[in-house]
Amino acid sequence: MIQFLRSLFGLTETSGNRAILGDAVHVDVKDVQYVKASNERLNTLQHLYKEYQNTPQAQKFKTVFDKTKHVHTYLLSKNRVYELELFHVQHTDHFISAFTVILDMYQKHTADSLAALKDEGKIESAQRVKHRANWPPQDFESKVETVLKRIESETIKGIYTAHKVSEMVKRVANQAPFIQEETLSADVPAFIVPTVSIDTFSRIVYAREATTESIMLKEIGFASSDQEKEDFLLQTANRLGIDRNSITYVGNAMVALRHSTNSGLSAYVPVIRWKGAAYALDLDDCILLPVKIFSRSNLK
Amino acid sequence: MIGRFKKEQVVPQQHILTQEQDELLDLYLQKLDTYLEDMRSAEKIQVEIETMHLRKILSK
Repeated sequence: MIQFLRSLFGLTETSGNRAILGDAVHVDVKDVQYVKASNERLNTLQHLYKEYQNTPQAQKFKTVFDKTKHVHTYLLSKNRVYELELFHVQHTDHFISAFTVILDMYQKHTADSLAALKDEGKIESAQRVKHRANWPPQDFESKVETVLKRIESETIKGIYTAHKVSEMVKRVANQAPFIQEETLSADVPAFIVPTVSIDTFSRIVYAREATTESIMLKEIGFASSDQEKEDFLLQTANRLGIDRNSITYVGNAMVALRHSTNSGLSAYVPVIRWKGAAYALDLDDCILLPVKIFSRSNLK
Repeated sequence: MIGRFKKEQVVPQQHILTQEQDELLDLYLQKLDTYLEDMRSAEKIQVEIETMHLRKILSK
C-alpha cells in the first residue's frame, strides 16, 4: 500500500528488502545451497555443544548455538540468504575451526595420558594420582577424572567405550605414541632444515591488489627500495598476525619442495628473519618454513 | 528412566578450555550480540525511514 502511494507520488526508492518476483526461481537454486551450508554449520555447533557438555563452559556453547540459530531463522525469514552466508563466513566458521581444534588437541592429550596410566598399572595408580593431584593444575585433575570415568564406564557400559578401550590397549601394546585418531593420517615427514642461498637479483610478485581502478602488483626482491620492503613486511606481519617490528626482510631464495609430499616444485620465495631465525615464506598457503641461510662462514 | 537407577551420576567436570580460551568464548558471544543488535537497529532505522516517508506523503 505504501509502495503504491509512493509510486503514485514519484517517491519510490530502492529499499533493501525488495523481492524481485520474476527472478524467484533462479535465485532459489543458489539459496538452497546456502541454506544447506547454514544447516550444516548449525549441526556442527550442536555437535560442539555435545562435546563440551561436561565443561563449565557448556552453557556458553548452547548460547552460541541458540544465537546462531536465531540469526539463521531471522535472516531466512527475510530471505536474505547472502547475508546469512556472509555472517557464517565471518563468524561461525572461525568459531567452529578454533574450538574444534582445541577439542581435538584435548582429546589427543587425554588419550595420551590414559595410555601412559594404563602402562603403570591401572586403577590404584590412578587413585594415588588423584590424591596427590589436589593442588596441581586443573588439566591433570580432569585427566584423572577422565581416566576414572573411562574405567568405570568400561565396567558398566557397552560398545562405544569398549572399542576405545581396545584401541588404547592396542596402542600400549605397540608401544607407539598415539598420534592420530580416526581422522586424517598423513605420514609425518622428516624435518630437515634446508640451507638456501639468497640471491640478489630475483624479484617476487606477492601481488597485492589496489582498490582503485588498476591492479597494482607488488614485488619484493633484494634490490627493492626500502618502501617496497616496508610494504611487504607490513603485509606479511598482517597476514601472519605477528608484530611488524619482529621481522626483517632478508632476501629471496630458490626453495625446492614447497609441499611436504612428492610435488617437485621449486620456486623463489621471500625469506624473512623472525625472532632471530630465518624462515622462507610460502605465500600461497601463508606458511613459514625454517631455513638456514647459506653464508661463507658456514662453508666446511 | 523410572526403574533404572544409575550407580553414580558421573558428571566429571572436564576443564578443556584454558582461561584465555574461555575469554575467547566470551568475546565471541559478545560479537554475536553486537551483530544481532546491529541487525535490530538497522531494522528500526528502516522502519523510521518508512514512517517518515509515509508521514511526508500524508502531510502533503
